[in-house]
Amino acid sequence: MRKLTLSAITLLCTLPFAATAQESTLEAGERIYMARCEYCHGEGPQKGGTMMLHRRYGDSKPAVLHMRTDLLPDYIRNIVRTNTPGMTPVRITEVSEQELDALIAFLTRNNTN
Amino acid sequence: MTIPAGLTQGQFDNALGEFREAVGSDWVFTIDEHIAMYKDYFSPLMNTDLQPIPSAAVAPKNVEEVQHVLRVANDYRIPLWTISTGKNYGYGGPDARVNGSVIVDLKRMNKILELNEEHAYALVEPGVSHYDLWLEIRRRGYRLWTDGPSPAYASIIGNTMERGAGYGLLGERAAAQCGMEVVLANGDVVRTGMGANSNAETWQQYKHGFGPSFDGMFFQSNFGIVTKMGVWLIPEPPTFRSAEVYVENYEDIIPLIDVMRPLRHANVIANSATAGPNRGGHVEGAQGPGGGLPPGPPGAGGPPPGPPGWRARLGFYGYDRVVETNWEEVQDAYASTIPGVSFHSEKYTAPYNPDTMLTESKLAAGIPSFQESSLWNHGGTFVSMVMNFTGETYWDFMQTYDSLYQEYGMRYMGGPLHMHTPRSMMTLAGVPLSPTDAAANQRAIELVERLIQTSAEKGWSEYRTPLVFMDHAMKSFDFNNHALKRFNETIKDTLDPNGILSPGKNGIWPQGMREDQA
Repeated sequence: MRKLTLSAITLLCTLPFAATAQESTLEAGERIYMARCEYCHGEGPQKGGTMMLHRRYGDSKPAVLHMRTDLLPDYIRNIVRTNTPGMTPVRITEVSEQELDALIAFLTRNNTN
Repeated sequence: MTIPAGLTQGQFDNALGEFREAVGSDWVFTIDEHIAMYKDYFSPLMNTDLQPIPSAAVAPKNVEEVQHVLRVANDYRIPLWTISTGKNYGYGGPDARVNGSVIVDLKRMNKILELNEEHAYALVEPGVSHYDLWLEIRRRGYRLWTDGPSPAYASIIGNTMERGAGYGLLGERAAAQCGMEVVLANGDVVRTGMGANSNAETWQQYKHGFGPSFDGMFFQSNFGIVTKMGVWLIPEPPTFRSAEVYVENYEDIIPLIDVMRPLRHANVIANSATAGPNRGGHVEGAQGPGGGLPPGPPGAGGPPPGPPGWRARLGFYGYDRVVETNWEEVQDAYASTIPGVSFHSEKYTAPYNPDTMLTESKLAAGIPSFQESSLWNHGGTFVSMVMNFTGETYWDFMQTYDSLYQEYGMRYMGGPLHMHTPRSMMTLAGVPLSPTDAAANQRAIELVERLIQTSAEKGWSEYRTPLVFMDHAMKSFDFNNHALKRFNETIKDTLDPNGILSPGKNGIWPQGMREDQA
């Protein structure tokens, strides 16, 4: 986790908005995650998404989203694009379809199945 | 598919074709799945036929595309509704007021056009969020602080245009604005202030320009589309101290406010101080600006666990000796007035590390923490009243609101107070909404309308209101037979004769859509 945070901060410090030519899909996904999701779903106090997932799953699943290994692509897509309790839809102007594909690749990178 | 009133399906299809020419076919959204992303899921009108449904959304990338969209809307008389990022939660989110509106989504205009450390300002487009700007300042290593709401995905321009509040030295967000570029309904592009000089070097440093100043006209209005705005930033202070003042008794809110007032006027307390109900003393990272609020919208709910104590949150910034002297003076003023008062404070010095800062300190340091998201996550609608900066006024306010809430089976024991404008106070009262029970929400609407009306009679006015209450709030500004409303309408008719820009925004309707013309 510590390693991820550090590499993510390094990424942020280089380029918060635009993709570089050399950026891999996973790197792009991590960049988008840090810019658009981490502020609510990351580690630390007062992260609304993390608090909500902890309430929902207790200790049975990691509350910090990027530590999950069971998220399925269609599930992520659905949560991002539609209204769910506590999370309003993320519009295509905020995260494009291509960026969402990269985000899904990042969030499913450690999936066990 | 919903289409704008007065158009045939064929005419609207032609208009959509022209919108696609304007912004590219990828950026015109018409299918239900996409339209659903432009809905306010916290609306008091949820699950009723009254919540407007957009006919489409268009997302221009630059000023030229905005102008093209306006040409099409004028040609077809299509009502537009402009959003920056659509995060105005608790006040309407991305919702329009008119059914069949085309949402103009400015999120793709997301450039930080200039970030100036020497003069401490930024020039931004509407899609830039507070979080984006904060990240960019850190990326460049500039010694600048931002200020703004803690749900920092809000657009800087959108939140400023709504006169939002932060918690630091520039918490009065409307006062941190300096210069803007506006596209008028006829497509003309105007720059305000010194920006009207094509070679201006002080567009973001000098607010007033030459002759009349029009910036204020574009706040909470529908007179133009703001495409660029200057925003002042804060030079990083050598020392920052975040502090809280705790009082134990419900009645202590009166001296808590009255001691603060002269200190705030004199800039001894220079930040956008807040106060609010508190239960159980200091809790690190306690929820919301009021601290220790019970779950649910601010101030509302029932039955209450008993009257709360209170907490004020303050920030001190600058040279170390000044910070320490001011904080000591504030403690002396409170200790000599309120028995049992207690204090908690944390001191930080540059260079600052946000990761090690207390959550509650982050607000006053302008560090995005998303603490306040919980305010609207529970589902509620806001009444946001500006009133005299006195304890007596607030006590009267609480009694007045509590008696009205009780008629609806709830209690009002006080909500967050914002002192972001140094000569007045703003307080939030929340009324819970149900995501499923439209009848309960209708009762909530009735309560809010009564709160607004009763407040107006007391001399308290809304500084901002959810869409559904905009006409009601506008009616309470009634001096000289609603002269302000008539003045707004005169300007509206002159600048936007076809009434295409955000009809109904803040109770400003174009000709042909006014209640008295219907």
